[in-house]
Amino acid sequence: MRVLHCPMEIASQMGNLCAGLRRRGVEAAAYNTFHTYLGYQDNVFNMDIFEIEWLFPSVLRYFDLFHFHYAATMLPDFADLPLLSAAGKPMVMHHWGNDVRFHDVAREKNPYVYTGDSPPDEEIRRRLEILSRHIPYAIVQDYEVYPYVAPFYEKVFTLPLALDVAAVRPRYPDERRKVPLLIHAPTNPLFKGTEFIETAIRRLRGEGVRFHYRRIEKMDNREALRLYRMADVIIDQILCGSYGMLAVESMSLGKPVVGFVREDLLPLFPEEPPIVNANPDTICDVLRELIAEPRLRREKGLEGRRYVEKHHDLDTVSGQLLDIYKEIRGKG
Amino acid sequence: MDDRHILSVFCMRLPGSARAANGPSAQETGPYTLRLLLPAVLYRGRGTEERDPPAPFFRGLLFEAGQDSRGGLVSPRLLGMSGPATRKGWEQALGWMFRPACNIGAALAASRRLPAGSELDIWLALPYPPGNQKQVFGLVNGCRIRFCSTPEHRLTALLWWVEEALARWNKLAAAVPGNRGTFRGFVWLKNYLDPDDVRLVNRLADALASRGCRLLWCCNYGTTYAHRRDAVRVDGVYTRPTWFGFGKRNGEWVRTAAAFSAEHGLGMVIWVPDGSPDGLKRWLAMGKAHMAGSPHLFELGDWRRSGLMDPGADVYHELFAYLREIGRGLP
Repeated sequence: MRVLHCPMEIASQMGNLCAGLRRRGVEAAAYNTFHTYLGYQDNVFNMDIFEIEWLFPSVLRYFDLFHFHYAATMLPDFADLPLLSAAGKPMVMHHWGNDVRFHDVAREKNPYVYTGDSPPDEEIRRRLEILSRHIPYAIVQDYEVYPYVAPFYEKVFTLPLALDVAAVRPRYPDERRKVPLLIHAPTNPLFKGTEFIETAIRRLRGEGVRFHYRRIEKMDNREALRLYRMADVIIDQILCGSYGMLAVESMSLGKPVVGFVREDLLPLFPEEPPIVNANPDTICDVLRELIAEPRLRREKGLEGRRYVEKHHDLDTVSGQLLDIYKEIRGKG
Repeated sequence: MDDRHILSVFCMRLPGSARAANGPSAQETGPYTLRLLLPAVLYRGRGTEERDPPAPFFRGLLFEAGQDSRGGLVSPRLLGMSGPATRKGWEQALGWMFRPACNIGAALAASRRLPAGSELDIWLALPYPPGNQKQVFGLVNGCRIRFCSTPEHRLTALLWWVEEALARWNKLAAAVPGNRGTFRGFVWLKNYLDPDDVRLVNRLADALASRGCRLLWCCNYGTTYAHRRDAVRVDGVYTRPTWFGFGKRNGEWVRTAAAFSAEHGLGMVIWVPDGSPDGLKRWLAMGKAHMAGSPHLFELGDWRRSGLMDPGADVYHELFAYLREIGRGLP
C-alpha cells in the first residue's frame, strides 16, 4: 500500500506516522507546506502548495490512499477531492483542533479555551461540509476534538499522538534537587495560557519560593528537546482542555507535565493521563506543590513515561492507523 | 534571458510510469532515437518537398531522468514516489542520457541536419539530493556521502555528477562529427527552495559558472524567490503556472503568471503533464494571448506516446506555427 500524507506537518505527526507505517511495510511519504522554526524534517518533504500542484498528476496515479491533515488538501478549494474520488482513492482527513474548533461549542464546555487561531465558525462549517462530501472518514487525536467533526463525517476515528518513545531516553527528575527548573515552551502564548502561567511564576517568586524558570520559544525542535531533558517540570498549556505533543514528548523524557485536561474528558482516554491538572485558577497552587515535592515530580515523571510507552508509542499508534486504513479501504 | 524555446525530454521513468516503479521488472520508457527526436529539432511543413530545407524547431532540448531502474530518486519530480538517491542510480541516469546513438547522442545526430548558422542547445536536468535522506548515497571522491548528516555532501554529490556529465558530453560530442549541438548547462527543477536549498543552489551556480555552464531554474508561479533570480543566483527562471483548467487554476491563473513573467523578464513553462493534444492547444491559445516575447520551456509529458511531436498530428504543426508567431516578439 502506498500512502501520502499532506499538506501540513503539525507537531511532527506526519513524519512520525510515516516512519511508523514504513516499519510495518507500508510505503508512506509526507509533503509539508507548513514551515516553522521548529524545523521538522524527518521523513517529510518540505515544499510549497505550488509544488504539490506540480506533483499532483503523478501523485494521483501513484498513491493508493490519501491521508490529509488540518482540513487542507492538495489543490485550491479542495479541487483535488472530486478527482481523487473519481479515481477511487480512499481518503481520510486528520483534524488537529484549531482547524475545527468551533468557538461557541468550545466555550460551552471550557471557560478557559482560547480559539483565536481557529477560523470563523461559518468558515469551519463550510470547509467541513465540502470535505465530508468527498471524504467519509476523519481522524482526531482525542475526544476534545471529536465533537467538532463528528456531525459531519460517516465515521471519526481517534488516534493518539505518535512518538518514537523507544528512541527517547528518559531522564527522570532528581529528587535531590532543591531548586527545580520549570520549563514552558509556548508555540503560541495565547493558546497555551502563557500569561496566566507567568503571572503564577511572578507570584511564587514574590512569595520567596525558590525555583528556576525558563521560557523556550522559536527554537528548533531538536534543541528544544535537549533543553527539556534538563527540566524538572514542564508546563504545557492550561487553557485548551486536552494535551498535545509537548506533553507527550515531555512524558517520554520522564518529566512531570502540568496542563489542563477537562474533567469530563478524563474517562474518555484509554487510561487517565498522568498530567498534573491545572487551569488559570489553580496553576499557582499546582506549581507551588510540585516545586515543594521532589518525590511527586519523580512519581509523575515515571507515570508519564509508562503512559506514553503504552499509548503513544509509534509502533502502537501506527498499528492502530493501519487498522483504520484497512477499514477505510475495505469499505471502498 | 536568451535561451529561447526548450523541449523537455524524459530519458527514463516518467511520472506516469511511477506505478511500476520499484520492482526490477519496471518498464523503462526506452531511448529516444534519431527518428523520434528529429521532428523536435527540424520542422518540415505539410506538403513540402524532401529537397526543401527544413526549418529549425526547438532551440534546445532538456534531458531529464526520473528514477533509476531500481526506483531510486533522480528527479525532484518524483519526490516521495522513489527510493533513496544513490550514486549508482545517478550514474545510471547519465548512462541513459549519454547512451551512444540514443537520447543526447540522437539529438546530436539530428543537429547535424540543421541549416548552417543554427545550433541545438543541450540542457541537463539536475538530480535532487534530498536534505533529509538518511541512507548513504555512495562513495564520491573517497568520501561516504550522507546528505542528512553533512549538508555539504549534497553539493559534493551534485558537482561529482556535473563533472561526470561534462566528461561524457565531451566524449559523445567528439564522437558525432559535424554536430551543431552546444552544451549550455543545467536546470534545477525543484520548485520550493528551503534555506538549505538556496545556499546549495547559490554555491552550485558559482561552481557551474566557473565551468562555463549556465543554470536555469524551473519554478511554479507563486513560489518564493520566483522573481529573485539574483538571490538564487541562477542565469534564468522559467515560471510554471500549475494550470488545471478549473477552479482557481484556470486561464486567469496563466494570464497573471504570464504578466508576472513579463514584468520580471522570466520564461514560461508550458505544462501539459498528460500530453493531451487538446491540453496543448489550450495552452497555445493562452500563450498567443499572453506570452508573446517570453521564452518557453515545454513539459509535454511522454510526447512519444501522446504523439504531440508526431509530424502526422495537427497539433505538431500548430506548435511550430505558434513558436514562429510568438518568436517574433523575442529579443
